[in-house]
Amino acid sequence: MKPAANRRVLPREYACVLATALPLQALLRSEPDLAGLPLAVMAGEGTRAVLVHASRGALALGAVPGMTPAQARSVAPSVVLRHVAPAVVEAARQALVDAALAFSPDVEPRDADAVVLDTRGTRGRYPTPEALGCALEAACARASLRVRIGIARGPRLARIAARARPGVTVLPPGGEAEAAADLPIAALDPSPALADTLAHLGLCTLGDLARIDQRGLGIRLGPEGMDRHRLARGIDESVITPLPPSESFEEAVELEWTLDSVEPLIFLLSAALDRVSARLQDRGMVPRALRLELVLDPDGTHAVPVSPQAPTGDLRSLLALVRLAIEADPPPHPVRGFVLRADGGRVAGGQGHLFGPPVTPPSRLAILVGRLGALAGPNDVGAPVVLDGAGADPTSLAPFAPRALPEIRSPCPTLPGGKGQTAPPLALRRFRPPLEVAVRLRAGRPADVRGDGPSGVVTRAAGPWYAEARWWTETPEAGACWDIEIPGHGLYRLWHELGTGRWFVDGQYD
Amino acid sequence: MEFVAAKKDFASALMKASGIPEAKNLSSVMANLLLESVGEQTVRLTAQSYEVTLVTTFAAQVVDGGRMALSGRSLVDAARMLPEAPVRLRSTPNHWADLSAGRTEYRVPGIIPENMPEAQEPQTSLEVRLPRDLLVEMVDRVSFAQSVDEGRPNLNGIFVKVAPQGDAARIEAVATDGHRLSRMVRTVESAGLTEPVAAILHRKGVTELKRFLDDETGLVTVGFQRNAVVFRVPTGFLLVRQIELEYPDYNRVIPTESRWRFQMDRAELQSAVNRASVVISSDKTPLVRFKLDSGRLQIMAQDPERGDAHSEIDLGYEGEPLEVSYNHKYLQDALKALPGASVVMSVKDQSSATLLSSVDDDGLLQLIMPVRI
Repeated sequence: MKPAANRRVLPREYACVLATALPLQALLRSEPDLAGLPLAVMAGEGTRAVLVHASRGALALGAVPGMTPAQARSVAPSVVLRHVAPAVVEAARQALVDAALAFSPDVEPRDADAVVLDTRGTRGRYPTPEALGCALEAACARASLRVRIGIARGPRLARIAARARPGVTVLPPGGEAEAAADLPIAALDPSPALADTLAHLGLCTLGDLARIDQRGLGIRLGPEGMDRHRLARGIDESVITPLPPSESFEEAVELEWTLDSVEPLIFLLSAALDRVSARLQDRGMVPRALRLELVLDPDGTHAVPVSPQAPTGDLRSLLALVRLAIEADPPPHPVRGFVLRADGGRVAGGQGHLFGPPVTPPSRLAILVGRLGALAGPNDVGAPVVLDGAGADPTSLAPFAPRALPEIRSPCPTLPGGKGQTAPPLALRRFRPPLEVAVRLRAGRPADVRGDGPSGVVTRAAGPWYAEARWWTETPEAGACWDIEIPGHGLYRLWHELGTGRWFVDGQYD
Repeated sequence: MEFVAAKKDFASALMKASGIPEAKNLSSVMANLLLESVGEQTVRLTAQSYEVTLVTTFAAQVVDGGRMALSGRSLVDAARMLPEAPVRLRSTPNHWADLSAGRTEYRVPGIIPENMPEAQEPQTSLEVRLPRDLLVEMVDRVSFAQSVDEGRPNLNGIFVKVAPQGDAARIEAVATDGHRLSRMVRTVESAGLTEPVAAILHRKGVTELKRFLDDETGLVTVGFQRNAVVFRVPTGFLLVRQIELEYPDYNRVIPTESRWRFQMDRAELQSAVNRASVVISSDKTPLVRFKLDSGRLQIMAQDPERGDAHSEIDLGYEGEPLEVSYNHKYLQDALKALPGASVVMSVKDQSSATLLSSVDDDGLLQLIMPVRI
């Protein structure tokens, strides 16, 4: 390790990314169709509801924050008033964090609408702070967020710069006080008491405050006044507490109306999936598992888990899987919103085999398994696994994960007297559930089988082979297997439950 | 038994045998090396394992004739550390041995030499004379593709096929692990072969073969037994067990046509793949993505923890775009094994093997199966 004296110390630099009117932006992000309409976002319920954010169109019509819905409608009848679900705002906030994480590993959310990131060491890629700010703006625009950027030597100064004016505002190192001198005192976010005091003193801008002699300031303005005075003079030695990186991403949509069919839901899910996938992509990941939580009308939720065979960034495949999962387990009531959570993972691929069958891309395989699951039930698709024990059903299903065919295959046995002809391998095709039949015995051996399955006279029978399944449990199952031939039907395996005396056709030899 | 040998000769012979004795079970007789005097000027060294038998000789002044069986690991480790001085090895009554060189001494454990299995002089009816350099090249250019998966024992080695062509012989060496394949074809004049022969050399023997041929020059006589292949040089022989299984029909997986074919500088491609591999976690899917457009090839890799990598190579390619992914290790190995300044990649489709060949050497080809994502 190099001695500390030889190390180059990078100058402090922080950027604040501020998404003004975040709830309004979050709403537009989740419902892009609302763009261009005079739109206002409300907070509070019933008579306490007031407008908190309004779009330019709504403002132009006279609907301004602070109005009640009735007041807004009276001045602007065409204004669209909406509540925004907390999950929708949170998704937008997370998107803001993700956009910042593409520039720096050290990102701290500040307040409800901003993030601050440590941008030391970015000069190699962005030659000026302005270039960095523009890149940040562009990254947020890709996440459907309009932001203001402030860049300064300290995180709090960066936040002040971001709040000061639209676009990118840079407070140059050493010239912060001059650059911020004309900003209003409100940019320092003072408490109401301090704001009153400063107004009484006739201090309107940061420059006014910075010019006051700091001696005796503590007695007159208290610790908060001292702190704001230092900020006004361009002194900010605070640091940020970086957010631990998350590998789970969330997008939410809440609707004013309800959805009764799958198609419009899929349309909205497509946009949400696109957004969540883009956020994952920024972190070098693709969706590994999706969890869809449908918000039902009038209340309740319906969870739809979607697990691709392997992490994939193929949106069409993912959307197809989501559709299949919903079709396999449709919501019991109309849907009025959803939360889509995606866990990130690395791109996984199927390594091709020279001597095996062609490898199916995991995303396509997942769709196939999903389709089969929709047809047969999600719990009835998989790879059969033989369990320990015996009995009528000593098998289970495991997730289907194809493997290459083994390179070495045993040669087929030669048919007796077949002059070199080989016998094909005999396979038992098991019936699930086993078919219950009535069996008539002659001399203790099956002689006649009747039932819904194969029926007829048994010409040959081999057995019995006794087996006891689950002998280690309180309820062991003892039984006997028989292989029988029914002319005109074929070869079958019978299972005789010794405890109950019932007979089942377990499978057919192909 | 007692002898004195030059350190270089002694160490060289031991290095040839270093990989053969049993390394895990040291109580096995196969963990020992057998040293026997042959006249007054030569000592014969024998090392045996289930797959490989090595017999080599080195010059020594035999003071007291006889034989001794000493711990292979101890002897090899000690020989590596000996100073540059004549080496003296003398057996002690308990079948151990005193090893000394200059002012350094070791006591090496041993066993009763009669307990060691005899290494018979192998008899071979079918023989071919091959240049030593060709055999070394075969190991260097082909062996990396052998499978180490014990579940596919027929792929655990190099498949060698030798066929007479008049006075000459055509040698074909192939190794594959099921995901990639390396093939080398060479023709040797005056090889002295009378009928075609083929064998799968066990991978342990392949490793030992290169070590065995380290100091050799000239021709090596390769003899074929029913279940083994013998490599003879004037100082001894190396017997490698054959894998007595059927090798897969590799010719059917070598594509004969391609939809995309592009040529580029091998070193440039190798560097680009190496650069991309920096961000690939070794324990995860080691994917490197190729994106081919008109005039350029982009090589990319991505990992959530280690970042992204992107390189571009200019190509004289004007055709359809292509996106395909590979295991970066397979690419690196294949490019390293190809000779010449330029490499040609031929791709039939994303689910068939990609063929890498050298412009300068049509006897070599590498196949890599893409990764489907």
